[in-house]
Amino acid sequence: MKEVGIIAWAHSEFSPRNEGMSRNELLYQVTKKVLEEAGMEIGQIDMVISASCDTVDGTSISNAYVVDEMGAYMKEESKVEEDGAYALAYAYYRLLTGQYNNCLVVSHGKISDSAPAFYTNMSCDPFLLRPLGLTGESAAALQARVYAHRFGATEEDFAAVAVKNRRLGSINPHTQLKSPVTLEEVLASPVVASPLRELTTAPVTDGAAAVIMATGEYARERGKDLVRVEGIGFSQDLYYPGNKDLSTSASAKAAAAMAYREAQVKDPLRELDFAEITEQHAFYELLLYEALGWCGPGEGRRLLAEGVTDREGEFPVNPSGGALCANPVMSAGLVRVVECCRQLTGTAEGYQLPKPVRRALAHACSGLFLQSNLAIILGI
Amino acid sequence: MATKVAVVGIGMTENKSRWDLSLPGLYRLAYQRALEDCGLKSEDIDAVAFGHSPEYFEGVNHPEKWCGEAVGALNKPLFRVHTGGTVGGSVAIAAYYLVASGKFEVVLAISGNKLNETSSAQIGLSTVYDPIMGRQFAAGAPSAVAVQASKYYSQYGYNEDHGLMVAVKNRNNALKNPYAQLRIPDYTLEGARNTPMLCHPLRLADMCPTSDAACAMIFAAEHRVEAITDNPAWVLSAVAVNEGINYVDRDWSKPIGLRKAAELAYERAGIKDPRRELDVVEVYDAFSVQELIWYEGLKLCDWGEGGRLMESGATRMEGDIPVNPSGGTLCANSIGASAMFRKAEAALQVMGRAGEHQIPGVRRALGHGWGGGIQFHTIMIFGKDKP
Repeated sequence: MKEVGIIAWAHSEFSPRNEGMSRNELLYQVTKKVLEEAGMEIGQIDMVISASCDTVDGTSISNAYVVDEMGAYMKEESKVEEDGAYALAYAYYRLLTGQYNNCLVVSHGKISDSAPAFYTNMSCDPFLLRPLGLTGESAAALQARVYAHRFGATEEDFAAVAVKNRRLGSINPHTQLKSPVTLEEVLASPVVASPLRELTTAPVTDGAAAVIMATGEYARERGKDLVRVEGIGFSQDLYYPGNKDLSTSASAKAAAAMAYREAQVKDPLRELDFAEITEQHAFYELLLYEALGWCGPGEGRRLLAEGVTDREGEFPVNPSGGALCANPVMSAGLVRVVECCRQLTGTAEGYQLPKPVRRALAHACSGLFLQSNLAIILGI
Repeated sequence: MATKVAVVGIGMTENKSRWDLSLPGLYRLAYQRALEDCGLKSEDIDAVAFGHSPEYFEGVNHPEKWCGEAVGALNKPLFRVHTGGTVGGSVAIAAYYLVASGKFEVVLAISGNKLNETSSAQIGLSTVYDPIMGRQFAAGAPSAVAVQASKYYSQYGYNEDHGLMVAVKNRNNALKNPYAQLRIPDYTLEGARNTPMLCHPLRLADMCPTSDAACAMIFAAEHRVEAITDNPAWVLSAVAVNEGINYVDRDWSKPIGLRKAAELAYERAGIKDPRRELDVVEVYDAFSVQELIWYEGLKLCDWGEGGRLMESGATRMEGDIPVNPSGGTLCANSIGASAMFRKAEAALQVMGRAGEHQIPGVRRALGHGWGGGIQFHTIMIFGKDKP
């Protein structure tokens, strides 16, 4: 089987409202940056796969007016309407055919041009969910309640995730929220949708991210190190929240199982060195520890409390600070990949993990109630 | 080497305005028909490439989440592709590559739209234009295509009749296609000339209808094909190329993106002389005149010869290179499914299962799609013989 991986990565600056740049400029900047990182010119790129969303951009066919900025002019191209990590997955499958040498994967979202609650409420069907006024936050709050009720988890358990990730984010020069927070501060922060609070909820972030993927042969020819994609899994489960067990995520389980199978990972906690996951809410992180197979149901908080997933722990999760420190819509998952690449290549300056790392998992998700999940196993 | 891939099953819904099915229901119908077509069950499908055009049309963001269960994507890999009008093609291409990668054996591509859910598809299409430079003068798709048509007609000495000739040809072809929406008997050039002028030089006759429809195609890896069907349509190439949108030197009547896509597609399919080696072509003629321009982009004739190719009768059902025997997008346009209908029709022609509009003896067929600011082009070429 062909070797495919990542040779360069970049993301934009993250801010809650990037007034200085249009989406076009954001994309141009990140594309230019990733090409510089790879030491390549746009003419050397075989194919571009982008990720963006019409509802975020307030523009139908959100890639139509940005093809130049992403360097896709007169190239083979496609777009997924998902997180950029799904675009990476699509690029991976195309590169496996051997028809291409490389692919630029790029995602963007300027959510400040729209509104997060509008974006998520529009994701509800017009008949049953939308009349409830459901948004990303109220949906997550319902799910958090189910999780807490089922396993006896408390607001303190959720707050502890925020404390860990904000502390880790405080040494990551690339992220948006760079200040640590205390448990008291988290628990005193305003309620967004009970039991979710402002500090257990990811911030609003404008941003873009890009990676250049290549076949092993191409990377070797150019003398570039390759962060190998060893396996990818993705899955979607039921839509209506009343139809499924909200204390876990069936699709996250299926995505992880598929990725582990491809990468031949049997015991993820031992065989992987760390993970970057898209915990847009603090409780997602606990739920995902379980769904991604790192502990049993309800044991997420124990894993956290024991420090297993902290920076010095045996299985650090979100050493970058995760999505709770920067949550660029349509790019949060691809940024997890970027953060894994930094750690794996020892270039996470200022926040490099103390232990040597060779293999990691990057996670992305999409939809309300964690309906769709994606896991990528990366290795060097 | 890439795994060889074939289309083994196809499911279409009729193109029409329909209020009996919700959006998931419409997808469900196409999905069920595709499964029945090849005798597969839901559990045989490894992954789903899901297509849907602008969210604006039904007013639902991430419709793939709502419609996933309806297409059997329960704890199954699914992602959504969205490239505007090309989406049906982009999704079919995605499904092809998933199988070609060797990681999936049987993949469903499905795409659709219910354009009648919106008060006007053209308002939605006006929001394609850039909010800072473009939306002020946006008037849906016809305003852009009118520019394309005027440029084409004036540049090569053609006139409105050349577009209307396409309309007459395709509307008559559509009479033989039960899935087409516009099936108007006795459609004549004289009648077409007398339809209202909507956006000069485009008349009502030059325009596609507003349809609700979905289309599904099932792609399978070589080693699975035989057990599923003895009549597959092999994928010879699958290409999507993008050109830019606003350039002072952009010639709307000369689709260089399509030309590049065609050259790549022919090269990968081992085709040197498309006019002779292709037996039938389905192009995305959302507007009549575009068919002439796509002839040229696809190298069925030289630049500027599209009108004359039409006049020669070569692209009629009985001609040497029939184009749009199904009636094309001009007779059925849901946007979301349209570019896949072109691919599915091409595959059906190769399988010899196109029904009344079957062209005899088809061995190679091409399906095309366009989208975005008339800038994205998708091409798939299917063959009767395994590549």
